Amino acid sequence: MNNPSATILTTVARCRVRMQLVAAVRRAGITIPLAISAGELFAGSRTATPGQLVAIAGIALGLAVAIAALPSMLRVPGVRTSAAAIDARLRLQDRTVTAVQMLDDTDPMARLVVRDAASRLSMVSPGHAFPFEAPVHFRAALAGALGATVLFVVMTAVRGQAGAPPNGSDGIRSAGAAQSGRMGKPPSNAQVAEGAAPSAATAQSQASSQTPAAREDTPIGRESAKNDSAGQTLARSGSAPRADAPRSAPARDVAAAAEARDSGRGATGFAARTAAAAGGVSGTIDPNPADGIRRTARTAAPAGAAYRDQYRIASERARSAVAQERLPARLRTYVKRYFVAIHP
Amino acid sequence: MTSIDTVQAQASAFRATFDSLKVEIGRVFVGHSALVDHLLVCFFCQGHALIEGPPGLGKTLLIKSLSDAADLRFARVQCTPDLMPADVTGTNILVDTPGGQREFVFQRGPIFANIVLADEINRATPRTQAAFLEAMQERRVTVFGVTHPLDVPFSVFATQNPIEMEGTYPLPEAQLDRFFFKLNVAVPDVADMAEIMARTTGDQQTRVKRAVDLDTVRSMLPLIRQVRIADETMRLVLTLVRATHPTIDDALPEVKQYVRYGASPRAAQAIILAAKAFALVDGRYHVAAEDVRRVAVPALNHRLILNFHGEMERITATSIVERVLAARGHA
Repeated sequence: MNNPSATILTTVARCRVRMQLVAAVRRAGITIPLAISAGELFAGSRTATPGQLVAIAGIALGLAVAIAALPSMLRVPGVRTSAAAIDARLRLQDRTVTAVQMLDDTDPMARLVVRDAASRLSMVSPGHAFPFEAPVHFRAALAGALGATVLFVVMTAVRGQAGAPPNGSDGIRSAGAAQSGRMGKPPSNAQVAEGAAPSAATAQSQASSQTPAAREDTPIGRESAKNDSAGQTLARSGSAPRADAPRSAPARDVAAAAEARDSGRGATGFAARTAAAAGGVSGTIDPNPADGIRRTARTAAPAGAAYRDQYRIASERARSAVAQERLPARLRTYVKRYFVAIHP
Repeated sequence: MTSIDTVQAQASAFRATFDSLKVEIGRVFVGHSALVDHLLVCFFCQGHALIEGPPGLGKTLLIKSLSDAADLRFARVQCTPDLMPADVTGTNILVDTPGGQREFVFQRGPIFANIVLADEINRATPRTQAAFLEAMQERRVTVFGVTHPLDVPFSVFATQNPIEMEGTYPLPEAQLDRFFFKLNVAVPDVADMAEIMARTTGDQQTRVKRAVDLDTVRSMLPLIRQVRIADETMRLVLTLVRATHPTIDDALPEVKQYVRYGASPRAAQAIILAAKAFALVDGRYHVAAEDVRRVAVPALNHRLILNFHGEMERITATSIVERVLAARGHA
């Protein structure tokens, strides 16, 4: 041992770096699982593309690492503090902290203290003295991250099932299939709404649950909701014809009932038009119900100035709601199609 | 030989002396290893100890054994209510000179020994107890205006019986504070008792041999004060002593409830000195926190003055000190 003072200072410095690293890793043992949990919950609460998922994960991990490392970088312990930590860790009976204080002293007892401490510290390996250890609440954090992962997977799966059309990818086609009797119910305004633009009411109610103001300011949606509920009531009360049975009579009833309800509300003939577009009125199956809806809407939509104003206001709000992602992703297409259908 | 080697050799000699004294005392005084350690540390620190325990536990034997093993002049004062200060310090007596004249000559009292055993000190009157004060603190005696320095080493070991307090004069706080340690002698366990019986009731009487000479002891006394202590350890001692005061804000509830007065700075001096001695005994040249823990109870337990509630609820100062130590992470 040539220079005891140098040995002490070098060892303390190495141990200090190691302690900071260990402390950062310990913090990361908490922050990274927390970041994973938060990122998954965030991503699970909305539809995100794979690219967005990667970005969210990257941001979360980056934040976690930064939070873990920052205290170690900002708060560098002093030599005395590090020496005390070394003593406590290695049970050196305050040798290091005393020696650090006596480094510049020249009396024999101080030199003996320094020499004694240096002889102990020369055998110390920072990596061995300060091994990486799991933080105290590491298991809880890990369990939380695993729970969040499970939740994320479940949410993604549920959304995938709910977002997929009931019979194929085209909702309009499924609506048409329903009208053709495959679903065993007479075509109704509600079914049309559920299939082609059904969920104008549902989307409206869901959108309005996020933005109460939107619920108040979309009269078309309100009317549609009323129509839908009435139509559903009628549909439930109506007989269930065979799949291949002619369905013109019940369809006509439904259309007539819907028209009767719609009359005087600024949307006269809407139910009839949608029912006709779905093929319910004529009893024939429209091979392309979406086109039918559009065609019917274009040809039969009221072109009054008041309606156009109403439509403009409502469609603008709907567009805004879609743009701001206030509507569930699976309903946005329906809302768009609904507004296409009722275009003046 | 460099000065470092000299100090190292002195430290080794100190350890050897300490161990040999302990062995010699152990020949006649069975068990109580910690008590013997504390007594020896107190002696090497040139402190005075108050030894408390029921009769018959070997308190006097312990002190006598130390003086025999260290080749020290030993004096015993059996304190009684009629003991006068002059009986302790000595007095001027009129003597005939060879020339046929008479003159006053100072006749030294028992206080001029290296080790003074004040047996049952609480039976002496306060006036006589006070006679010990100057000797214990100033290490000198003033009689008829003349000051007489005491020998080095000098330690007063006073004993008192805690169970028979009638007709006694409890030591005042000021005098208690002058004792470096207060040591309690507990009843030995069965194994130690059997050993005591074997040694004292047989035909072979064990005697203490001289383990070290007086000059060697004297040369070792300054070494203890050279032992170094880090600021952190010093702060630990000071916070410990301060924590015994009920008036500080962060005092423990037990301290606030049961303690009337806390320990004085003299207690911190005693703790640090004794910790230095223990560091040397342990082969170190610096004080560690565990040395402080080792000496805190004997250094503090007689310096804490309990209040009425503490005495009524039979709280001991030792339990308070241990609680303070535990609160500081040194249980």
